[in-house]
Amino acid sequence: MSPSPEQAAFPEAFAAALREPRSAIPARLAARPGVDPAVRFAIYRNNMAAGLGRVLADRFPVLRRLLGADFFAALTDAFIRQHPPAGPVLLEYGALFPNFVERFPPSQHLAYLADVARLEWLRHCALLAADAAPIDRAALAAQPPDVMARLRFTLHPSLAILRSPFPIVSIWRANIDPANPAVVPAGLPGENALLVRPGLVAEIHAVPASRADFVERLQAGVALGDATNLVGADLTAALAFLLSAGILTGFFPVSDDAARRSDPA
Amino acid sequence: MAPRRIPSLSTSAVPASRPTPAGLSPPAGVGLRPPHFRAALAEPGAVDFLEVHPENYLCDGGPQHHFLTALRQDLPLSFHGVGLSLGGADRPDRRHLARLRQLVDRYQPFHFSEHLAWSSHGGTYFNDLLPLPYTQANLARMSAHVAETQDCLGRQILIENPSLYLTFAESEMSEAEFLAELSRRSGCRLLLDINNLYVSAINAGWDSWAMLAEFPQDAVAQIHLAGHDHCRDADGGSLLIDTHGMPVADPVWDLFAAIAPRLAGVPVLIEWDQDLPDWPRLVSEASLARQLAGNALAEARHVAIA
Repeated sequence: MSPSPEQAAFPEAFAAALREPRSAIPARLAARPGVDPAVRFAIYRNNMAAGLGRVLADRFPVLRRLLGADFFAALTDAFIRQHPPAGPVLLEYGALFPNFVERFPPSQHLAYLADVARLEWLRHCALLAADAAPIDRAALAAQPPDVMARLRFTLHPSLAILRSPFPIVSIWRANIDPANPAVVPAGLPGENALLVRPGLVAEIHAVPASRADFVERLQAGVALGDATNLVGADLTAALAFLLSAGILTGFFPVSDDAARRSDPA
Repeated sequence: MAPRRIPSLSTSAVPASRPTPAGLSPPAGVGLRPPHFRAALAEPGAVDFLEVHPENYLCDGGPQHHFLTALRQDLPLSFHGVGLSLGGADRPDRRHLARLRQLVDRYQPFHFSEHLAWSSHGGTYFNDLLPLPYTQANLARMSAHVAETQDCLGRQILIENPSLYLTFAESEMSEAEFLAELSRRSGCRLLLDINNLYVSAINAGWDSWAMLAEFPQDAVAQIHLAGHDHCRDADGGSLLIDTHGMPVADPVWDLFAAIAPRLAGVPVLIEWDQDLPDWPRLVSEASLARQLAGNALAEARHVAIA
């Protein structure tokens, strides 16, 4: 059966015209008598860009403040045209945005912007990650020292680390409150952001590189005793941080296969 | 009119209306947005049910599930899907349907609704509810998509009439005819969005009262009300934009009051998605809908008795 003319025009031509703002609109569209269908078609084009633009503005508020609303809108318009969503779950939309920011010619000279976008994306992901109860501190404290060294940990599913040559955590903190003017702190070294959402709020910590290494090692399943060389004398402080930040959610001895299998992670 | 069947007390039961002196008011709910999570939780008795877009809850954990789970303890819930693109050319995405099924099993909504519209084509999601020609070919295809969705979700769904800015010269039937036949073929019920109906009528040059009269009322299981922006076309005529960003407009209330006596007990929902008001203002809009429907029904019965 050959396709009828309307099937050829719908939705193929409609979809193509939505994606190409300067293209002609599909034939045989109508509106109220006396109204140009092209004007009405522009509403659909605008709905797509405006709706997705709002999603990105909510998701990348600090980047938007740093760029200003107009520049940000130009950036998101270009992104939406080039990378429209592949599916209807917009919670997942924007993963490609930080890399797009990095390559966007008008802002390429502001290299820290892409890392700010990466931080905001990771924060968004942390808010959607699975929940996990914090570690049983009393049970952990009751472990004898020799067992302690052989412990492996499960870390919170929301945990993420972003290492940057720019002071991204300071930039983020200085700009997250819309009541303050946008500002880029000057003269600061690069920062390592550690994100975790132990409760309902995604926390962003600036951590030394050694501590980021330590957490990543634990996350990879390295036993505590084998990871401590990364933090050296700082072990007590590092563990205290992991506990207070809600990063640790479970533990089990390295050699205990049964415990490993029964671990929820 | 015969009284509607009293819903059972299962978790997925249609919400009960709050007791009123006349006992005639329908359950009235609101669309739930994250800025209202805490206010809704503090005052769950303010509305009879809540509605969410399930796409916004397709995540593993975090605040979205925390608040929806807590609110679900207190209130019936309705799901209003915006992403299945049932009026499109492509079959509904099986992976997406499977995720929705999990969410439905978890939250046990009393309704799952979708739209007479399409939103995806060829791997691109357009984030809008786009129009389609009301042809036999599209009716057959959409009926199959609705049936497939109902199979995957394990339940009957509702399909909502869209707000239109454009129509198609090749349409072979009215929107009401399309919806009635879609319901007959697929076994779905309908969601009557009176704001959409009014927006479409003005934008397409149709008669909203005639559209309401023609709408297949026996299939209506839920009613939506929302606000729209009033703009102007180049010729000075009205152009309505379906923004869900303001109070329900008077002509929409009028249509609602007129149809309410014939849809007694059908849950009614206020959608407000942009420029959100505070929670009490949103609740008052739902209370107004409940009261207006109750009054209209009481008046209709009074007239019938007299």
